[in-house]
Amino acid sequence: MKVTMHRLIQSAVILLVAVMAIVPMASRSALADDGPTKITVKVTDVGFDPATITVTQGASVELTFLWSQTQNTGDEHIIQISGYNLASDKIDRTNTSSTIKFIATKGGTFSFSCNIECEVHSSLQTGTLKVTAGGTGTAAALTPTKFNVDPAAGVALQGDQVSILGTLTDKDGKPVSKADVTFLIKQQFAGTSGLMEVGTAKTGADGTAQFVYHPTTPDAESMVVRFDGQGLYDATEASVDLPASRNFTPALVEEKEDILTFKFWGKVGFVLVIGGVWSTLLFILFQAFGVSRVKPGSLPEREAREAAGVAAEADLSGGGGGS
Amino acid sequence: MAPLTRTSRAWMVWMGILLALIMAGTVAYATQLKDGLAVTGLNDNVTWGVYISNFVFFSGLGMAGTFISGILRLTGAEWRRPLTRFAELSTVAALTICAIMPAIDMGRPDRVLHLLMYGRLESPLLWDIMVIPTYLTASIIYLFLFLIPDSAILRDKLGGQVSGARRKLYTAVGMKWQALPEQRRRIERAGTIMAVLIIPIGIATHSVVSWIFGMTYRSGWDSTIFAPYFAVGALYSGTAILITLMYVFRRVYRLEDFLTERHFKLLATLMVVFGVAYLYFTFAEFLTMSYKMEASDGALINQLFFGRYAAMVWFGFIGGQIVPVVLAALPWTRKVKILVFASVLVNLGMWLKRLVIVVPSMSAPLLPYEWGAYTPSTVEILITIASFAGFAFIMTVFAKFFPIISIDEMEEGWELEETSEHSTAGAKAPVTLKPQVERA
Repeated sequence: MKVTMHRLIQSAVILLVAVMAIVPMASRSALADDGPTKITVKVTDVGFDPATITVTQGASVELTFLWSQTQNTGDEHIIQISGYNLASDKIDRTNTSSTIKFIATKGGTFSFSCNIECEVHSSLQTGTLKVTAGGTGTAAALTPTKFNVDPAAGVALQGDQVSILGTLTDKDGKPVSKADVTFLIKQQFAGTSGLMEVGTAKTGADGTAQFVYHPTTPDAESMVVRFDGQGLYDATEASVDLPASRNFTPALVEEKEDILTFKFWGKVGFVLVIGGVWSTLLFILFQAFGVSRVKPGSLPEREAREAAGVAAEADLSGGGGGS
Repeated sequence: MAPLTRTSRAWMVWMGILLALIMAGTVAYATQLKDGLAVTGLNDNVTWGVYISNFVFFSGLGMAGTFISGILRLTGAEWRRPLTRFAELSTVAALTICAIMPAIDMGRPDRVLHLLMYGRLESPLLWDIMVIPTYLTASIIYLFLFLIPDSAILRDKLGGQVSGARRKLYTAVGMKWQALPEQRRRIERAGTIMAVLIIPIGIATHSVVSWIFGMTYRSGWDSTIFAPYFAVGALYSGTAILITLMYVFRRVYRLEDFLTERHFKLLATLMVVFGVAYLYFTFAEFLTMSYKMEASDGALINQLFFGRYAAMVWFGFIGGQIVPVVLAALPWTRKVKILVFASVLVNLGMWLKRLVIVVPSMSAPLLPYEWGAYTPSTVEILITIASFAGFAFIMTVFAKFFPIISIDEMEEGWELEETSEHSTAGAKAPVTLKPQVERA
């Protein structure tokens, strides 16, 4: 009996220790090992429900926005998450849900909001996404990608346009579909240089994206193709050299003679008016500063005094007047 | 002259408040400079917000000086005399703030000179860059002209009551003025030319401001009547701010003998005329748009009158136009305080009106796409408050150094009045508004 009691206490202690060890583990957020963290946020007439969501840094997240309005049924929303550069598809009463899949790589507090001018716009500016550290298991990682443009077949002159065709693949060489790829041209303007976006394309099922560019110069240009990762992949960039376009025709049409004449005389008129106004202002300043040059008894002073005297006499005889 | 030499505690407190507000706005602008326009509510769709609304609003306030000092001077309206100085001053103060606003709206103000270096003369933006500094310079010269005799009076009369620096200021601005006939002739000649010149410059300024919008293919802006519409709106809000300022200066400096109830009533009559004209333009503009109801215009009108902007539009229309005009027109409501209340309503309504001219048309999509969203950020609100504080600051500081009523013009008016009384003894009462005080 004594032995049984001892074993019972021993078992109870072991059980207690096991429970104490398991419970905290269960309450901690799991990361990629347990699959994606799925969260649904309802978009209602009074705001987001819930308005604050918390995920663990390193987790793979599937965030679904569900259109749930009973009033303002004509409303449409696109929800964007600041800091992650992600946005949902447009949701409305027909297409009621949109899911954003991403890996919470960055820790901190971010906001999500509707960026469409809807009836409940101000209520939909208050969403908060908290990405906290401290999860267990393996953190999900962004998949590396690469955008390949075959220098021979990928760039083709088509009349006065240049076609760029490339393929976006992941680290295993698998095509990445439905990815937004941005095309930028290296430009110089007013002493500054930078990349100017000239267009975007979405990759197809085979990972290919095609963009047709209309050059604004007959010279060879350098293009950058960029994929920002869209929350699941590593960002990637590729440089493409565009050939000089022999068939280049300027995008701007030459102005007609009557427009040029109008513009010429318009400029002449403008300069004359502005010049006339500023000349008059200078004359007025000359008059004003001339005040300090007037001396009692000088010739203009005597003339003015006489004129003033005559005017005063006229006033007395003929009545008052304005200033 | 007493306020020029005496500084009350209330004045110090008022200046402290203004400086605190300006400082808050400066810190907000420093944040904007550091982090870029991302700290504002401006975005891809709505690239103009409260800054440009303030720009249009302050350019409108700047119309007051033009009108009172220009048109009334040319038409020989004697009752203008106590009003001209602060009318001209309010123009200078408003245009200074107005000129700053587009630079604040720029993401890269260091590139402001690019507008001149690379700008196209065909663009209304470039016209704006030309005309606003021209109007501001002309207004400063106009204000300066009639400060010459007054500064000479201050130089001679205040003497040892003020510091050496201020004496030097009065001596410099007074420019050896001795009221010699040749000196007066020069000032009058310059003043008359200026009065003629400043009217078209003022009208041109408001026209150019309107063309920034009117020359654009956007719903709500694509209009041929924008130039006169803006000019009348500027006259309306400019006259209203004069009534407000007149009340403030009258109370603070105890100028009841100079700024009489009749001055309020005369300005209120002008405000009614401009208010009715502005109502007519508003009605004509929206009737034309609503009658044709192009798809994009229809969507905009829906947003304006029944959508997101309805509260501002209806307040601007009823509270900013109909109510003030009725209050200023009915004989039994033409009391000083009610007229001041009406004038404040006018400018509140006109500020909202400028906001609903700028923002909704920017929000309206040019292609069948979503409406842009815009809510001013804290930075924009702080800078806006600072701009109003800046306006008040310029007025307050000027009034500390120079008389807010032109001494020389008043004396000239009294002399004319005495001459008139002398020559028309026994005839009907003179038309001028002689102040009920003994001459100093």
